[in-house]
Amino acid sequence: MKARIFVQSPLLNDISVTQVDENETAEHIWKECMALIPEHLQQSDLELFDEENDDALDDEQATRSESDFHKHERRVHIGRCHKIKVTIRYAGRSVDHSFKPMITIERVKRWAVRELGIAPEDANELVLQLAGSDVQPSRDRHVGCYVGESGCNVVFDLVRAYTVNGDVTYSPDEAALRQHIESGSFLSGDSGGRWSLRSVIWPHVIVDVVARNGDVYALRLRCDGYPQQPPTGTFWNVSEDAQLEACRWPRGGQRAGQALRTDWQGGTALYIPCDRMSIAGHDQWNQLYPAWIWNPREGLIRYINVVWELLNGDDYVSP
Amino acid sequence: MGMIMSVPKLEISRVLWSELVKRLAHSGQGRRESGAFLLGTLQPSRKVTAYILYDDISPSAQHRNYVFLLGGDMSKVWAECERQGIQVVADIHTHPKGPAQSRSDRAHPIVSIGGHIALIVPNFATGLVRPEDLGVHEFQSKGHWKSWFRAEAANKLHFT
Repeated sequence: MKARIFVQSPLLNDISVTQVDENETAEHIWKECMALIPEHLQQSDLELFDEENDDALDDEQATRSESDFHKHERRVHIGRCHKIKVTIRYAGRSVDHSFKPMITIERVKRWAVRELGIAPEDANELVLQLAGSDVQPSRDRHVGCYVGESGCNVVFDLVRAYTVNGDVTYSPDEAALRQHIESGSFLSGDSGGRWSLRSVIWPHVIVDVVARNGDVYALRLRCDGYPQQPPTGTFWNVSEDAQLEACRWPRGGQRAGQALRTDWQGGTALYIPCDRMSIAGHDQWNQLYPAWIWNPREGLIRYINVVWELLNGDDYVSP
Repeated sequence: MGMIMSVPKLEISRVLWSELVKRLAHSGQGRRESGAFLLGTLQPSRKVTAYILYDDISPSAQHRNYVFLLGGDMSKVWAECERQGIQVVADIHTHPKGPAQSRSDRAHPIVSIGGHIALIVPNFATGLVRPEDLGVHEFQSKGHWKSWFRAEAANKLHFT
């Protein structure tokens, strides 16, 4: 029977996985795990730490539910730091503690929340963000993955993933749109540099979509009736507050070029299946392009994703 | 029967308050909500000595008519607090109409520690803003808030 071993390390960009025979020796397992580390980074001071050996975490009761080891799975850490000095900043307060490198971000957060006097039920939307960066490690990452090039220290900020305050009352369609643009899937594209929200001036939303080579196109969509009714819209010249001139539209090859045609509806709508104006009379698109058909549950992200794909395909050409 | 003295929740100088309200009104232009982190000391009293406008840490704030902050925006403020050796003691934001909390205000405390104070200024902070026009809201942990309005709200603020 094979066992999967999930390996984390500050020397790896992501969680890596390898498979070994369950009866293999510890030495063999170590070699298999080390083989995941780029060769030029394999140094003699690296050690392997097993999540199962976290019983020395004396600041909180270890909960098996988190590690919840599957019989055929192990989670290990490779690094050189035996202890990580972790500092958590929150609204001017600061707490610190030394953790073993294979302690997960979730456990560090739980510890920090308790130390800062935050009720657990008030902490659900709080996340740890690596200080001075946009990195918000997922809950299962090892704290040891975030030490710098030298030293065994790391500073996190405890922050709310997003905060909405205000008393603007919206119509149901506008409220639904705003809910979608605050969703994780929209924000992940925003923070990942694929697109960013420029404005919502109802019933229009303007989103900047980034092309393969860094070109940015403002996409202005009319969203009344959202999300049951698909949006419709086109590329926008923000400084002129007018439809983008045809000569400045993105170009494409066979696939993208057809979708980015400037002569459809006078350029007021993109020729794609998720556009309200364009799907009308194109019932065959439901079978031909199911992935590009409007989906009210997915919402705006569907339209934005389709445009992003067009602008990031191999056949994209700058105007 | 003697008067029941109210203990102020927040202390701020009149000069700083006046400047803050003017800047909130200017940011919102009477059309959108604006806000700020109020920074200072917690001991011996909750005292505001500085502020950071949401617009100054979140450029995209100007493109929304409500307050929207990302984790990275807060991170900038936490770093500034550390640099100056001060804390977030309260927050303030404007509403188009009244000073009561909205559902999102209650669900999204800027600081989730009991005792944190959130001030709400009505009418986008335009025109004359008197202390009794404000809403003073104290986070009491586990999602609960306590609010004061009118004279009670004014009594929770101590202007120096």
